Amino acid sequence: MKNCSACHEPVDVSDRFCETCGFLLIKDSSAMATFQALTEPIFPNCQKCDSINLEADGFCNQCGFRNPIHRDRFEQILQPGFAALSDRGIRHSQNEDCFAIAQLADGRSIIVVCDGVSSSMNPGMASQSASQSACESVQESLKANLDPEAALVQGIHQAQLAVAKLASISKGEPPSTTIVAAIISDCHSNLSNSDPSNSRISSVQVTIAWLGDSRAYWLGSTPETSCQLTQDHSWCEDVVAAGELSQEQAERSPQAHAITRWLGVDAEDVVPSLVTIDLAGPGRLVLCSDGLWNYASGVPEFYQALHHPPGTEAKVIVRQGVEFALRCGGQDNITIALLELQSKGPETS
Amino acid sequence: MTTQFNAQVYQNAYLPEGSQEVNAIMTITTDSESDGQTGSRISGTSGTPRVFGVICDTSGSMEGVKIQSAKHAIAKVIELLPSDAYFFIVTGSSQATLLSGLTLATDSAKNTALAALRTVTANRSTAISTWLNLALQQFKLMPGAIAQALLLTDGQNDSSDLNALDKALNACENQFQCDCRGVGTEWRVSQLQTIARKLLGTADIIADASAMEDDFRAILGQAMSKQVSDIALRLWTPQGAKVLFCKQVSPEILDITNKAKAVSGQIADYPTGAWGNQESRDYHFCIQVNAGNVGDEMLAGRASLVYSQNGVETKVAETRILAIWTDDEVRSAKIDRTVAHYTGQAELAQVIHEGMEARAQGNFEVATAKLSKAVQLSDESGNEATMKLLRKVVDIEDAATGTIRIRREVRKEDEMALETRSTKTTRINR
Ligand SMILES: [Zn+2]
Ligand SMILES: [Zn+2]
Repeated sequence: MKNCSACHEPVDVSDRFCETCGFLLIKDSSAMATFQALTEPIFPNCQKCDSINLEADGFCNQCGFRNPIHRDRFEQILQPGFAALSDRGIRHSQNEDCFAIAQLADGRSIIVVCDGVSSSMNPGMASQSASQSACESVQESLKANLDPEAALVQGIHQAQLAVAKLASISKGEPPSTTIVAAIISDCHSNLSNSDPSNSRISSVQVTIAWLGDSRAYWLGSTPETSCQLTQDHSWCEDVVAAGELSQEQAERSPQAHAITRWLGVDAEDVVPSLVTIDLAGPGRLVLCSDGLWNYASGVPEFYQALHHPPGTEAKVIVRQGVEFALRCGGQDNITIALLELQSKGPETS
Repeated sequence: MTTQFNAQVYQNAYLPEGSQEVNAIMTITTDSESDGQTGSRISGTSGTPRVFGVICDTSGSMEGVKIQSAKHAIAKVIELLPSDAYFFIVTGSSQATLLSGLTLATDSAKNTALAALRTVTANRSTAISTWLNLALQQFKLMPGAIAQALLLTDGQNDSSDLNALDKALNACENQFQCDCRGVGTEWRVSQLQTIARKLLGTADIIADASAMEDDFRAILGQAMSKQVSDIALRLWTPQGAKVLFCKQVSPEILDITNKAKAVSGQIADYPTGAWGNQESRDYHFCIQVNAGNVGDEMLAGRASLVYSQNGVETKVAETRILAIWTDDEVRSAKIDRTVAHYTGQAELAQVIHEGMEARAQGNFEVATAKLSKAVQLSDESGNEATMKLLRKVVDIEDAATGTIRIRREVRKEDEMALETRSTKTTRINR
């Protein structure tokens, strides 16, 4: 018998989802090691009153204070060039963001970032369930030879089911979350037909799917070769795209940042936007929640905020990125996942 | 039979920097359905015995139509008693008489009791303490039963009995629950309310003796619907916190703050009495905690229901009351609408009480101000029952603005009805 890492109710080892809260139960031991303990307190004693009588979710049974839990700030490093970090920020009492990252044996990588909607019930559980369900589903789909777009569509569908399941145990506004998910596949462009100089450039194929305003950016070696890969599903973005208002006018509206698509039973439109691009390295693929990009929305600013010399480890960059957002005020939860894409020319032949 | 308890907390957990007061409403509902949901159920031993005690005033002032109506209404109650319930009848004047001792409500026991009832006559004075003490003796014959009583009186307690009544009430507290009814207009509202509040019951006026039968029937119906008794509301609070109050706020206001029984330094039990199926009550907690820093989150309270039987304690329906300090004023300024609603209902009862007191003292200026506020509050909250009672005491020109004129000539029973029923609240539309 083990316990669900989200709601702590006992679960059957053979279950895929927690019967109580619908939380995806990770079987892969390394991922489990990362996520099982997420909701547990970091320190054995209360940081306010020093009592060792803490609840499993960090509340002190003596003074009542909620102690830091791993979920407040958690990091995963898969490779020197592949890491993610999520932080509760300064203004929020809980971290309602989550991420899941994975690397398949064939070298393909998967990144999922979710940002639970604060006004909904259990947003933290929603983002955690969604990111883990999506990531696990995408891995299975890719192993079953689905193409990346189909794998992402399937993954987001699974995430939607997981979030919808949470609604049955939550009263109030049903749990909801944004999601941005990417599959990165190496695809050496050895087809150097006309231009011989191309033969040394390899590119990677990145497929991205999203709902809401969590973003993906590509950071090349200069701001000019960098770009934003996603377009928010937000009120602001929608009215500008429809030509109703200018970017400036729209930004001024109080509902500018209201999202228009999300995952959850109350979502009207759960069809993700999809994009597939071939990107030429070297460069860095970044997926993040609005807790970061709110402070560096434009590509040049974003590039500036996360720029580091070649060879800098991914964990250093994501940590510095979180630091940057905290210095700017940390108004929201901050999540950054980063994958470094090397310029791997074909072996000298 | 199992009783399933469900609890939900309504609050705005966000507090501005430095703030220490946490308010929350806990809604508790019961259900008998076993729909396979993750259960918070308490099983009373199947068919926990129910004892219903009738305590009837037979002092001299009851003479005439009042005693006739009371005898008639009590006879009806006896006839209606389910055969698996137990009952007894105490009649009281300056001393108490056991008209019918504790017995199962069989047909023959009922007939014996009815025959005894016919012989009852009214005389002598009123010493309620003796009635309660005799009733307590009867209830003690069946420990563990769901113990409920109905007390009927028409007059004030003898002033010589006041100390004895206090003592009797302390002895009876948590031993049985008692709904109190005053017939006519010669009894004192505050006295009956004191008895009812101490014994977790309701107090009301029966102005017209002919209405007694229906009222008694309703009280019996309520009493017989109870499935489990001695349910305590258990509240854990963090070290250094203070419970400013704990009140039942629906269906009517009952302050139970002073009824707290300390379980440990941080845990107290508040009695809630017996519960039937398909009941719903709301409780308001106001907890003062040590202020946290912006960004801190605190468990300000953990509320649950506790039932003990044969020394085994069952805890169900645990809910959390949180405090989160924020510098986001939009978030902290929002008052939860359920909390706001019941804060308003409590104020409504308070201003009626103060207004009627001022009126009784001939201070019409204060009375007008208080009752004007009362009219506004009942209008705002849609408390039509209270509004109806207010209309008999004041002339309302515009309810929304509280433009009223106080009536000089008011029937005594209308005054008393407003006073006794002002604690009845409405629920919020969710
Ligand atoms: Zn669970
Ligand atoms: Zn502590």
